[in-house]
Amino acid sequence: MTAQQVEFPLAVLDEYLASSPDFVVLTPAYPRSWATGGEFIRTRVLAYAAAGLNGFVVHYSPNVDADDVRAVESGIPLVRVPTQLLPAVVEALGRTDAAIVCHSPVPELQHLLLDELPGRPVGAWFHGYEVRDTRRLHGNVSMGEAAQIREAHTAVNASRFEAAGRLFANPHVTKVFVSDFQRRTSETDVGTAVENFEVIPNFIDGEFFAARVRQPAEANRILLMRGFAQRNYGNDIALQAISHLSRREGFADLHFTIRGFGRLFDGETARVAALPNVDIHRRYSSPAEMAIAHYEHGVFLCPSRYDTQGVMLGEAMASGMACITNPVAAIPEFTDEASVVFAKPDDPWAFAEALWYLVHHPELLPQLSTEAARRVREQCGHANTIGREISLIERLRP
Amino acid sequence: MTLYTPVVFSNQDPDIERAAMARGWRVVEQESVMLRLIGTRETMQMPTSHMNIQVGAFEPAHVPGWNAVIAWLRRHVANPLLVMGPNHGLTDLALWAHAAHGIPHGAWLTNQIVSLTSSALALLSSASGVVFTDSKAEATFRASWPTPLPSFQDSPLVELVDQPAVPPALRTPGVTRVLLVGYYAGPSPTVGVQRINYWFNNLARLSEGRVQADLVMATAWPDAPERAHVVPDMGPAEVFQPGGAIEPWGLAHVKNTDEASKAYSVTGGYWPFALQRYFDAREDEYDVVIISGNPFSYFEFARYAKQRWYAATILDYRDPFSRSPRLELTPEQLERATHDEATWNFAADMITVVNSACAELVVSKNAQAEIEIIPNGWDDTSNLPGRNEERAPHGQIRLTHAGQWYEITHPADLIEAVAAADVTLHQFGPDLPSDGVPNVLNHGRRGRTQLYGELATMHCGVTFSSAQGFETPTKVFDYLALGLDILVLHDGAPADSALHALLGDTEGIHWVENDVTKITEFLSEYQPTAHTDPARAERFSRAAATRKLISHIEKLGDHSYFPPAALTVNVAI
Repeated sequence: MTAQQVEFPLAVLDEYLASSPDFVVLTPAYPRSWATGGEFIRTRVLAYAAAGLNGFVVHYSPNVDADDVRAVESGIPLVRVPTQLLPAVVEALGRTDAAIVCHSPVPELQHLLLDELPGRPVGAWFHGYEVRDTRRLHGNVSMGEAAQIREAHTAVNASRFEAAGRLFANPHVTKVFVSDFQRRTSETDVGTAVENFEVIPNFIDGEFFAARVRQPAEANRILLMRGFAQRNYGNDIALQAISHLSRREGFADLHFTIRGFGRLFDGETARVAALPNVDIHRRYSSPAEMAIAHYEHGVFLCPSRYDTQGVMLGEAMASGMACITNPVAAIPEFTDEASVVFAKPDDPWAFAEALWYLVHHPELLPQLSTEAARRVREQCGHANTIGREISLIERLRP
Repeated sequence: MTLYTPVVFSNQDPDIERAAMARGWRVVEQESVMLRLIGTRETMQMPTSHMNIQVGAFEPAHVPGWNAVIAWLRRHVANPLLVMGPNHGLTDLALWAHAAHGIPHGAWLTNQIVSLTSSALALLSSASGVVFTDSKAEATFRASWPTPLPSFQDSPLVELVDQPAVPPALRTPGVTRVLLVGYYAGPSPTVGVQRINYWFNNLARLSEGRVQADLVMATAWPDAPERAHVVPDMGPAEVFQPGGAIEPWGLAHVKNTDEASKAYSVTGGYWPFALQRYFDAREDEYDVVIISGNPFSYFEFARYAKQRWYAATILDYRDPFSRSPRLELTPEQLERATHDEATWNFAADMITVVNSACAELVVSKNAQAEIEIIPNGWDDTSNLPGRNEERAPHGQIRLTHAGQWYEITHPADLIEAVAAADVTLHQFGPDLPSDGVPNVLNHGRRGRTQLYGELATMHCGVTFSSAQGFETPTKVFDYLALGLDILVLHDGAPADSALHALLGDTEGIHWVENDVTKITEFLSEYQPTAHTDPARAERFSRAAATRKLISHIEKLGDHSYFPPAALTVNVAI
């Protein structure tokens, strides 16, 4: 794309800004009907609109199709701009009094906001990777792969942390983290204490994932449904556990559904593919399909090596499933021993023992189910998430 | 047992050529890129005149050419075994031939000083045998080398004993399976191996069978015990696949290691890939993997251990690595070393060190890896001389210092004070820089048994405590075990040192400032005491420290599920 070509979206931007929006969301990812990524952001924007706020989304990306600059997604105006135009976007935002809301801001945008809009209130949401040392997910790569990416990842970390260090120290920018674990580790990784922050988890929609109290008879209906893109999701732990249990008497009475997609799916599910009581479905699930899958099962397996919140776990809890998970990263912030079953981290045998215990104590299901549904609604319900974000947006208007 | 034909790459050294010819070995001479088997007209052209993988000089496009060199050797020599000098321009050819083609190698040494490059270290540590051309140089080299160096037989063909395969370590109910990983272990005379050797020999006994340990090391252990794995380190050649190809990750690792070598010792930096190849071909199941340093560069193996076995990992630094007060690093070197230490620690479930001062110097961003102190100690299973043995057959006071000395606790003041006093100072290990002072006696390295025997005849063991006070050296535990007085020469405040915290009010500990005047004053007044009560040393034994380690191993390696009260209470209802 040439310099001349990249100027085209600005007129659209000016047009949107002329409507005196309450907020403008800047994001490097936003889902479309044909593309995934940024679903967390769309959920928020729709909720802001439902609350009566007027705003639009600026989706910046290195590659923008000239025919795809302006769109309306679920009633929300959307303008797509090339990343190279961020300086002009920031300049334009400086002429409005809309609240500036940035999700996962790229380092270039962070520098621009601080340099071009000094003193201007801005909200910067960090969801995880943006301010995380890439080495925290050490288990995602082999020794050889680690050698290969070392130089590139060191440079990425340095670039991200340099920008975030400035942003963390700036009191005019409100930094939003989805968990306090994320805030703490970000401070460690960036090397700067965060001035002016809020911890606001992702919203878990308790109406969509309607709670149903699980009954003891449902302890043998077991669901594993996660992405299989990276090893930190920990699906291999649960699948090894199933394989381990398959040699035990009584295993045939259980029924497992494995659903998901990603580059690791085939390899990780291979070890249980031949078991007659394991149904394997390689596919993406829409939120509605996820809610249905929850409804049809009693126990949810949600192993993890790293989650900054654990939204998939939260949604299963909201549905009232009895969940087995690992107390790693931020998961203990959103769970406790009364609402989920904890298994020792990164240990398929311990995971198997925890599942076996639950299967043999089905009387626990109603209690776990009730407590999980209650807890997730209290901590990640509308008031504690969207409600707080709307309140913050109002404070961000200059 | 297999017979091999040694093929010596002589580098035109007449001594080694003579030695090889006398044994009836084949000799290859080199002129630029041409190789020729002496005594024949057979020549072979190499892709380049040297092979130096570490600096990235191995071009993937040259693989077919190097494979042709190997094929040429095999065509003209039955079962070749390449014998190379450690600083020869083709040292990496021997390592590569071993790693990629399974051709064993040996090393030849002359009276030339060896430059300890990654390749030289790998060549020597993984050599099936060595041949020296100078007996005096041999004695000196062997005294300083940290592992046994087997000599080749004086015969045209050499026999190599096939190492018996170690049976797989399989999971057993009620038993926690541990893999101990140490580059140097077994018969190596270095002081650091005592820790891992003791664990290997005593974890099962001290845990009453609940913990069973395997040991894997890079260096040779003739007649090793059943559960000891020897996985040689071919250094930079480890990044090659069987058949000689190099993948992009291999090129990247060579580059990374070369960069790291500018900051710290990368000994063992390629070894994780040898371990990976070895264990990928086996069916072991380990619950806990303990990787002990130094050297430290193979701590990256923790990543593999977690992925391969879901093992809990313990990185045993013993002493500090990147923030060691003994290192004088530039800011760039420090940045590199701390970055790499932090990288390794992300894959750790626990980090162990020998004292609290060392714990303070660990670089970790991994809050889930607890830092625990597992002290060193004296070996309670060794056959130590009795504590009440008659000391010093003559009246002169005998001081001793066992082990290495360091610049930050330089012994110059001690040597000067001893020179002017009516005492003798006996050094075991690397020589003290005494410059001919007659009552400073450098004895060189000793085997453990002989060392204990000689230490037991001393009055007082000397150790140093630096300004940072982070040291609790193994020698102190040996002095305690043998009932010696201990002279601690300190640069910092004694009360702030790890050694002070360790020793507390133990009898017979003399704290003296590391200053010639103060040491002289001490020596003029010192009256030895023989400590015959075993209770003085008991709490400093390795058994006590190992029991602490066992409790960590059993916790980390436990796969049980224990329901919390929040669930069991309701079950009862």
